[in-house]
Amino acid sequence: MNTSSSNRQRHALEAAVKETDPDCTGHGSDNSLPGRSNMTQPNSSPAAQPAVRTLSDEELLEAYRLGDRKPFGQLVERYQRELFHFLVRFLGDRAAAEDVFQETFLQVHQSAAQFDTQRRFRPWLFTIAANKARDLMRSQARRPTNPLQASINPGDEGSGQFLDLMESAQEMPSAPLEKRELQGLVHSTVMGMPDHLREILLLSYFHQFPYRQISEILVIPLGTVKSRLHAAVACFAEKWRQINENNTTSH
Amino acid sequence: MKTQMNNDDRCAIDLLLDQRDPSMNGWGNGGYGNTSDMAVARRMRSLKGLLGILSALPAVEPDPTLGARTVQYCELVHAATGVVEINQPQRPAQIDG
Repeated sequence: MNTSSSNRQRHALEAAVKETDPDCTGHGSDNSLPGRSNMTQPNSSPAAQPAVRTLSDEELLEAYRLGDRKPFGQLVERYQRELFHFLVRFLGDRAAAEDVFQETFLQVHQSAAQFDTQRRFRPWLFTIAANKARDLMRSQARRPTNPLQASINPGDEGSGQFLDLMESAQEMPSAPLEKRELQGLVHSTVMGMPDHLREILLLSYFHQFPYRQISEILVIPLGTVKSRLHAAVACFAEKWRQINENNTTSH
Repeated sequence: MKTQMNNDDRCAIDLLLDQRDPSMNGWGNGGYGNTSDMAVARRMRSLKGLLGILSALPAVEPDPTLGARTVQYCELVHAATGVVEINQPQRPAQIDG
């Protein structure tokens, strides 16, 4: 993805949106663009589309593929919070998460015809979102990764036990923390993880995808899902312990 | 310090994070050979405490207009780029009368 040109295009289009609908009500104005389709806006009245609300994701996408525009807005609404939460936690930046959210649904719109109806919509959506987010991070060359995976190989001499690490890492800092301070520390810990480990931990812990679906989303073998998640947990434990130690000494 | 993960640790992680998929692992520690239920249970307790820390990660709520803006963005790209309509019926060949 050429992010900069894509962003320019998106911002130009968003400016056009504001011209046609300055309050972002989703209803446009009388000067609707020619050729504009009639996708139902996600914030429209709940009572307006009871039938659409009862359909499964796959049924909505199928209806959309068959030419009914309304289900698209329903899919956006259905995943607005969950997908945005994933993107914000993964990217660590609200604006970037909004960009990727929009690009993800644009891809859904453009690739709907290619969707394999035997698959589930949710993993497919997260596949697209994760790819877009990784593309963005690559384009920004955020930071070099420092995978911990190499350090948890069995047989490393002079290594500590993972159980000890888990038990020491979950001890809370000696100094009592305000809620916001704790949130900040956890955020720093998670953002300090290598991207591929943070990604898989978020998909598993917060979004509760089973391993088989993570394998599908990340297009990696099941064995790699396991080993990567093991590394992710170890990485989180180690980084949390380090952050706690630093925090304790600074208090 | 390097951390060494053994079969009990790996088994505990898989049981905790993949317990939603019964075909993967059950409490029988399938696929991990020499693991003891006691050891795995202890690790699962520790792991729950550790991963519980993640719950403090704030969930930033999306802007209320994000959904509407997203749909409009897709419509505008669609209109601007002339992406082919999905499953649009093919037009019959024009017959000049």
